Amino acid sequence: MEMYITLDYQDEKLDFSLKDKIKRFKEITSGSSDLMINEVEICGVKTALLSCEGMMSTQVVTRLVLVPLTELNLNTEQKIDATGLFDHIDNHMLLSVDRPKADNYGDAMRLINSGFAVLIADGNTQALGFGVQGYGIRGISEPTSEQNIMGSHDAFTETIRINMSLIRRRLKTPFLKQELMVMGSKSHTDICLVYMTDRVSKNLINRIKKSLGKAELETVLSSGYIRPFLESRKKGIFTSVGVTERPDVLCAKLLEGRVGIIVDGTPFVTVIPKLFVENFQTMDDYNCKPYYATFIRWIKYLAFFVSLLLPGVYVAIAIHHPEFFNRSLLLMLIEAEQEAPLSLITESVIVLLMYEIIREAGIRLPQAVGGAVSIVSGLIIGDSAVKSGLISTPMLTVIAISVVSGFVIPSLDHTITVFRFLFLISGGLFGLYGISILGAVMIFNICSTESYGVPVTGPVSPFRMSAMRDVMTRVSFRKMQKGNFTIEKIK
Amino acid sequence: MKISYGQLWAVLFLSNAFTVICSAVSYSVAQMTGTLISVLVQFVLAVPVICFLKKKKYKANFRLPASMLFSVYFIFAGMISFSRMFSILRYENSGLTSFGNTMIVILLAVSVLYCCRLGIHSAGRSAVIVAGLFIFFVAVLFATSYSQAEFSNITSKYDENSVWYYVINDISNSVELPALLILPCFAEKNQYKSIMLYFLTKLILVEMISFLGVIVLGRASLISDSPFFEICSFSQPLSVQRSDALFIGINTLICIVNITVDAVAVSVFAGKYIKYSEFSGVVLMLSGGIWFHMHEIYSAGYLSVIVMLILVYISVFYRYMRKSERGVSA
Repeated sequence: MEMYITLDYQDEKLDFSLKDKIKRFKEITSGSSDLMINEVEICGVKTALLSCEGMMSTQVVTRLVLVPLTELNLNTEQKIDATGLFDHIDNHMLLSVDRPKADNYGDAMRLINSGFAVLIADGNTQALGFGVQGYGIRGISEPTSEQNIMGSHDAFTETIRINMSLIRRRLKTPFLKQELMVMGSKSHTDICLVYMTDRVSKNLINRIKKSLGKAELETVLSSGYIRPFLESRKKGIFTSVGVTERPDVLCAKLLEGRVGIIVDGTPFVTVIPKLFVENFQTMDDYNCKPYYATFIRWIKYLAFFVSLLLPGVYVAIAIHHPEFFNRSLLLMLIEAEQEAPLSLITESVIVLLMYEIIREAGIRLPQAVGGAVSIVSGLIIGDSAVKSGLISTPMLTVIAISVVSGFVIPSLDHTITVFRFLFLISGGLFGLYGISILGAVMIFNICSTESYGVPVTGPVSPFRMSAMRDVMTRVSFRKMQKGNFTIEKIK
Repeated sequence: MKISYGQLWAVLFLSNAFTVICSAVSYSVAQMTGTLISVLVQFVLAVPVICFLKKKKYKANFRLPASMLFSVYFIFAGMISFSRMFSILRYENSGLTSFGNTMIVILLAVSVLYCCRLGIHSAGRSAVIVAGLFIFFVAVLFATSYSQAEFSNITSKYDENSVWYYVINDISNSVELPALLILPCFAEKNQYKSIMLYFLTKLILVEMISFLGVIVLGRASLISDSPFFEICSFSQPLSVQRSDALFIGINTLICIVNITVDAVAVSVFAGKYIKYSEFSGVVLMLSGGIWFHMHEIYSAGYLSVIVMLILVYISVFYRYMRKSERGVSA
């Protein structure tokens, strides 16, 4: 297969003559149609304004760069050269707020592809960039996966600069540091490290930078690309890296000494380190009375166990420990199961599998068709399966309760989905012994998981009383404001 | 990596909890008194150890004879845990054949192998979570068994065994006692606190369960093979028929934590001298446990524990004395 030649231009210095520079830019881009080159003479110096079509605002570039530059008239007796012109523009004209310089083709190309207008001239080896980005962006909208009632209703978007501003709007302190870097040898994706300099430990920042440095990726198209490099334990069941699409949640985490990583093009920000108990905390918990927040939190803990264990425990008890059920319940179950042609374990696996297939179909299909999937699955398949006696009503009820409980903790969805099956099979084969053995493996696995030295099971184990105020209960802000809790206290 | 003193306490507490759950000793006032005296005797025996730990830090760098002796003890403790698990499986019949029960124990051994590879810190943290679950379940047991209580059982003399019989019985059943001398080397600081806390919580747990056994079971505990599960079968939380099935779960969790700690200890002590010490340790524990169970020689096993206890006690203090002498001569 014939390929275009890959040019190693990253550190190549800009040429002296304008003609050579333009020629080289064309070579690098292989004559790509979106590279716009506008040649213009300013004060007798031959220049060219390079930009990428669709990445910058034509209106802004015309008003703020092209018009002032073409109207520029230097009343000097001597003839001005390219260096003098660039000095004048750099020191006496405020064409845009963001004005980076470049002296090699790599930096200049990065600027052009990021929506800058880049000015090059005949007779020097420099390029001036003007921030005139104006590409199409999605506006700030409501969060889709972390909805709440009383908290803010704005979520991160795909544009890194907007996301940075959403954080800055909430934390106006100078201690908030946003550190930009570039990742991906092909994509040159902007990554922003966000942290509070007065709360985070230097060691944590250095370790995170080291982890990111190890990620030699060609492209970073979403935060999922870099997340595996930030996970301390590769074989952990639960993730030690958090994700949020809410700026207010991220700000709360930053104040606890955590680090946020914004990836350009992703509306989800990665948060490190993450504790397991954070899966049960939402922004709404802090907008209602502590007793209600505590109640809701316990409901979530219960929902987690129900969603994970209920089908497995039901099958285990029904097959291996029927003495657990009281007489009337047992008789009811026997009556229901007598009609079903399949064994209890086969029946439950089939129902769960069907649910997963229907769910996947609902997610992938367009919203309009998604509704039809719900009708077909809920009314037609569900109803007819029970009426025909293929699936018993108690089994369907158990699975439905388990699935609905899982919706309470969306961040643990992946783990719950897989382990619900495993618990079901182990419970069906070995009864409550099987469930306990798998449970023990799960507990040991999560207890061994650490995120940059912070155990994810903290503050429960290792037990830290000072941090338990937001785990077993949600204390009032009067108490919460005392002590300045940071994640380092969990270690 | 070291564990905290709270985690060490959880490990020791669970070891005792497993003994309490699996014990076949009947509940009576004499048994409660005997256990009280036994715990006090054990505490007095442990005072020198507490004083030693308060003064000095205890590290896990033992020489070959001590390392081997400790490894043998932990393998032995693991064997007893496996055999106890078999006895629970036999008592709490889950409808499986003996092959099915053996499969459960083998599965348990495999999970122990995985868990012990994760290290002592993972075992310590897990122990805290499992201890919390156990305390919660015991509280549920108390709350739901109350309706079955018959307080006249306290005054009726249905048990003919003497108090001293129960003192000896409790000491011989306490497989975890030698661990009190060895496991503190895994803890970071305040090792003595975990031992003191262990005795306090052991006393509370044993006496509370015994009291519950007396008021709920009374004379029935004399003929039961597993009095603790007998109490559980009497409790009826949330309209369920009997809750002993729930304790199967927590009991298995405790068993895994106990055997994992034993396996980790074996790998620490014997790992320097023997390859694949974790694997060999768990295999030995499992085969020993099966052998104990097949021959039903639990009492002989417990007697050996007393011998081991004395041996380990002597070895640790011999080492301590030798060090002290060296310090004086220097």
